[in-house]
Amino acid sequence: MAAGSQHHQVILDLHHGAAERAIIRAAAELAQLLGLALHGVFLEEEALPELAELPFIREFRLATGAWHKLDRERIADEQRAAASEAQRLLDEVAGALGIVRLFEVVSGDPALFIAATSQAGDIIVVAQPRLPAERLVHATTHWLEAAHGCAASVMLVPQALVRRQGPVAAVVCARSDPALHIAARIAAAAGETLLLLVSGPPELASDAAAQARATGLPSQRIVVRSIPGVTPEDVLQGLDAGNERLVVLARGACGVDDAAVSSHIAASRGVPVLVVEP
Amino acid sequence: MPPLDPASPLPPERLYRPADLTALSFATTEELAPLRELVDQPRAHEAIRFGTEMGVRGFNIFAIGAIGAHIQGSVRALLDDAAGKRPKPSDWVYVNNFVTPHRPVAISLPPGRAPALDKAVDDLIDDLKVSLPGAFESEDYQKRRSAIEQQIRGRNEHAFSALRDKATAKGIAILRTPMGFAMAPMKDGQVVPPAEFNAWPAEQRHAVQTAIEELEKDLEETLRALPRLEREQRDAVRELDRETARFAIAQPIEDCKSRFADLPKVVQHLEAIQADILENVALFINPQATGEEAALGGMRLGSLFDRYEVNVLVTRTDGEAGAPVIEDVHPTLSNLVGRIEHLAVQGALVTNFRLIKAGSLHRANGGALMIDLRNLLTEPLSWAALKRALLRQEIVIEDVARFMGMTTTVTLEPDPIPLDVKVVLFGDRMLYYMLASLDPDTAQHFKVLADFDDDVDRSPASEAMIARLIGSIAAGAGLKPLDRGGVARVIEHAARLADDASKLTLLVESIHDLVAEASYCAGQGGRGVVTRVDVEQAIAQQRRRASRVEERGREMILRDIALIATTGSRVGQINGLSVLSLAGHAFGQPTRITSRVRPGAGRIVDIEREVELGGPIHSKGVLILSGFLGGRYALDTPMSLYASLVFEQSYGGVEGDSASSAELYALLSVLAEVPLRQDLAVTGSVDQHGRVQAIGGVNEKIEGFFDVCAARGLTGTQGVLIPESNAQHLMLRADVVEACAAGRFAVFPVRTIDQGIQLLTGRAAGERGGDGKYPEGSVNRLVEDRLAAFAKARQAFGRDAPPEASGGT
Repeated sequence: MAAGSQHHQVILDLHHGAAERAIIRAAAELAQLLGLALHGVFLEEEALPELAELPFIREFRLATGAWHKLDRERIADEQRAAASEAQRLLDEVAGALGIVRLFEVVSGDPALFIAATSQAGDIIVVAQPRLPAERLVHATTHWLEAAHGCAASVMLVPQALVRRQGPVAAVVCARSDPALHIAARIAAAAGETLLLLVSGPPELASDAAAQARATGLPSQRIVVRSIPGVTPEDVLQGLDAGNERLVVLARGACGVDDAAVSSHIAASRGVPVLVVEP
Repeated sequence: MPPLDPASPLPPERLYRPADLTALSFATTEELAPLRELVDQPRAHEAIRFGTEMGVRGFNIFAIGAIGAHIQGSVRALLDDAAGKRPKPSDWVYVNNFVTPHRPVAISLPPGRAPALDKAVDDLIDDLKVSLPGAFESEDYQKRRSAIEQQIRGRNEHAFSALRDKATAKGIAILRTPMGFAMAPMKDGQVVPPAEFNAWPAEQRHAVQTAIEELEKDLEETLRALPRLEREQRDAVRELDRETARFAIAQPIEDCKSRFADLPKVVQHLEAIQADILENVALFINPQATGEEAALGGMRLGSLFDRYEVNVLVTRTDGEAGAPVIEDVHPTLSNLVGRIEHLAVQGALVTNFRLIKAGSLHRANGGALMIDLRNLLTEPLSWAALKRALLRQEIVIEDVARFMGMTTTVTLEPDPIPLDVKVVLFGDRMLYYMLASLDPDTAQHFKVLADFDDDVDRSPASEAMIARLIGSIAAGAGLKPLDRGGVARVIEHAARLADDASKLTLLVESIHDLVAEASYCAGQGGRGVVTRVDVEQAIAQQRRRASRVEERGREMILRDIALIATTGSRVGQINGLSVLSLAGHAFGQPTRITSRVRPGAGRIVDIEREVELGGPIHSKGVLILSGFLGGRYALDTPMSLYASLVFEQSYGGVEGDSASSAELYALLSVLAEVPLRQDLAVTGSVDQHGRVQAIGGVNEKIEGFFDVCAARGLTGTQGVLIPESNAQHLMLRADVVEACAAGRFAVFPVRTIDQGIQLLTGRAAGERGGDGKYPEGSVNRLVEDRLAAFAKARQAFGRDAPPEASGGT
């Protein structure tokens, strides 16, 4: 994400356990703070109904704990019902915040959809799957890979959110770090403190504070902490007692596997982690 | 007091007794000390004092008096005095029963401490609303929770990663269906559509199918382990939550408990709150989600934290001294024993312990409760509920709707509260006597009777008391003060209301009305102080407003439609006097009574009785006349008289014996064939010996005849014969007294029939001489001779024909 760039929309994956009120609210609040539209996307497994034609394909239903034959109509109906419920929740939560929202049911390859829909400046919100098994399913891995592989920023929301208020933390490891700018904007909009975790030479800390003040944040709402490095553990150490509501870091700031890094921080802190593109 | 001369009318000073305020020094009532209670009620006061001091069950008080006596004012003053010496009773609160919520727990606290408990619990919960979420957001908690979750998640993910790797290696994709999981062939990272798959070689398809069957088993096994792992995680997190919460709430709860360490039940309740918070810590951590969940799950009332609140049912504030004295003016069942209110939620009526409201029994508990008996008995279920409470000595809140079978909604069974109250019922006597005779429980629960007199002996002291009462009424009602003349006139009217010059009424309501109207009159006259003139005017206006029937009756007489002679004399005809009382307004009017006689079997026929217009007491009076006649005149011969008596132009019922002397005079007149004066009217009952006895309404009767005479023009000979014993009751109107003083009217006190007949006929009644005979020409001699003649006539006739067929007079 280029410094000072404008986001166009927050894209929220409503499939795979993300259609929960807390997740939608986190995405909607982010959209509200940044003045963006919320675009809810329900990803349909296009191949699923067709697979009913293969007689040996069965479905293990969690509710019954038993295997059932795939039924094309039933699967289609259930997908429609899930999409409808996701839309209802999206309307309810986003409506309460008064933000612009859009809902879309998408079939096909998620990577193609993301590539076609998202652009630099968008934020894709991905929920940490509730079930570990969901992390391993085909579509989830595809969606995550596609999200982290596109030009948009990605916010990972943990299933169990610890807090919704508190400072906005930003990992700063370079001058004009995009994480600092987006974090400063969110902190200003939310009326929160900006917690800067700075890794680098001493002048980087003062420079980061100056940049933050330049966005309009008063000095007393800017806290700077130095961290020895940018490993996830360094970041977690820097966040100690920070009571933050959100962690923002630039893509690749903590290593190449942004998905793993954000997942680790989000799970450890119980707050969303926003990975912004440089 | 000197004996009265029957031949002489009563002197004016005997017709009206003015008030004597010489013992009281004041210019207006503003200077008089207020009167809290009516004194001179020693019997009733002793009863109430005894009742309030008697701590034994059942010694509640029944205070009775006349309607309008306002005895509750006196009762209240006495109870207040007694209550001031008793200690303040306990406060009572209802709190949630966390085990069985439909049975709220009642807790007693020392007086005045209930609000402190309420505030302490409120503060505790408010603190915890902040400190508990803080504890759960703390780094320490998050780290520990994260460690638990990551450990379990790690075990989960390890199993799933192995499965995914295995599936990927075999070219199988794991798919998420809306309700579960499925597997499908995969090629180049994409699910293979059925058409393409069917085009694959048979061995390849078979291999995929075999791989899927194998992986299904692994997937099933892994998924089946999920609930156990999740449960493990939940248990571990719950234990962490409990530990965190226990630590967070321990100190605030201990602080709160220490403030009520002397109250074991309060401490027990605070421990129950602690246990409930530990079980429901989510209320504090995520109230919104819990609230939404609760709202979806059922009908909830108010906030989720209401369960911890304290419902202060009754508390004694610092300003109150001693035990409470409460008057329940509207003793419905729920006002009496308290009620459980309901609120409509989603169309259903729901309730909880916070909606329990105190009744008057709760508020009066430890003190005294006053209830108007009539109000109590006119409220359905209240009397029975009061008796139940007194019998069980506890207050059980009873739901009237459930009693009547009107609702089956959710309700509560709050702990009963021990009852220690002195119940004082007050009302009029008739109601008490009826209740006592119809409901034997009355005597069981109300063993102390405080019977208030309707009047008080008239003396300077009692007049001073009434003067202070008048002052209190005027001050209390914001009326103008009365000067000495005004007060004196009200006191005199109080004697008139008592129907006795030597008594003063205690019917406070009537005195209040008069003082209020007099104040109005003073205002109309532009006076700041109520004078005697104003009181006179008020009395006159009271009479005027109610006098339509009285005036119509007098008009009938004056127009000779109702025949009443006020001059001349007639044989067998006399003016009797009767009193009519309509809605509290009593007035007298004359009635013509006549008699006819003939020989017969010794029977006096009361025509009123024959046509069923005469009441039993009136008939008794007439029968007494037979006794008198037989005893006086038929000493050696049978009574051979047939006499008839009638109230002429009387078309309504006649009751009472106050006309029996007049009837006797008419009878004697017709027997003696001596005319009776029509310018005199007569009242008084008579006994078999000819003694004239007291009657009621003497003032109204005299005034009734006076008004007729005055309207026709007073002749100076007119007057009324009253029983001598009624002379002490006279409180006549000023115009009557004035006429008597001027010799234009007269009131004669009569002790015997002989005295009366002498006044009415101008002829001596006569006394038996040594020869056993009455003097010649005396009324008695004439009567006796006539009766003897009747006896002879009947004797002669009896030989030939039945006596009833004989001729008339």
